[in-house]
Amino acid sequence: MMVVFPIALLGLLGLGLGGVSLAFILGGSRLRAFTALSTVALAAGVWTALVGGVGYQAGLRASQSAVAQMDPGQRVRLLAEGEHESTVALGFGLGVGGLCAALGAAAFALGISRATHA
Amino acid sequence: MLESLARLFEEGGPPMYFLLALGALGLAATVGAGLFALLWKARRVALGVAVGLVALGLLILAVGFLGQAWGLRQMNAALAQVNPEDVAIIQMVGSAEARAPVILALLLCQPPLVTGIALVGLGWLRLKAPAAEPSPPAFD
Repeated sequence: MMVVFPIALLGLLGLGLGGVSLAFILGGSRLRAFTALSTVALAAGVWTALVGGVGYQAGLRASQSAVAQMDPGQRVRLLAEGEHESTVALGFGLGVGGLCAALGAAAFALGISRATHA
Repeated sequence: MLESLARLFEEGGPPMYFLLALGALGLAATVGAGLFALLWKARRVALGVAVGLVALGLLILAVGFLGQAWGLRQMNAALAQVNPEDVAIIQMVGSAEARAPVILALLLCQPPLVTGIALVGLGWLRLKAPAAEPSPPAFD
């Protein structure tokens, strides 16, 4: 669950940059500069998803290592809990990161298209 | 922190050395390419360097997943020779240890991959707008 905070921070950064880039590109001002900035939003989205991936893998590894030393009755329940929490981290990272990356990619594509035809 | 990283490295086995070498290369390339892209005036080369950084990040990620597959294969080979009562525990510990290369790869691929994607935009910004192609001569 520790990864939720960096994911949220990176996600806010990516969404902010992507939104501003898209708004300026749609407005038609400083087209080339904001097209370049949209790749930073795309990078922030990829970064967010990678952090979510680290949280998922590290969470699963920790729960698998921990439950191996417990009695079989508790093992299944705790493993399921660990898997659920890790999947939440992955889902949050992929969801927020995917949103940022999609926004950044859309802004980049639109910016290139408009800059080429300007 | 360092202790858990050392434990992670120990559990991952031989693929970790390869990953560490690639990660060091990735960090050096990130710093070098970042400076190159910011200071160098060769525009097309800067864009190529950015794409190269992205490729290096993806390579590190791929090596991590290959390391996990290798670890799982080793574990499955070992399972055939153990007491059937211990199979569940060994499977759990083995698959936990096999995740070590993926975790390291996910950490090490971040600098080149993220910097590379961001630098693609900077490289594109520095490219000159393409000149309009001359219209072909008219034939009578």
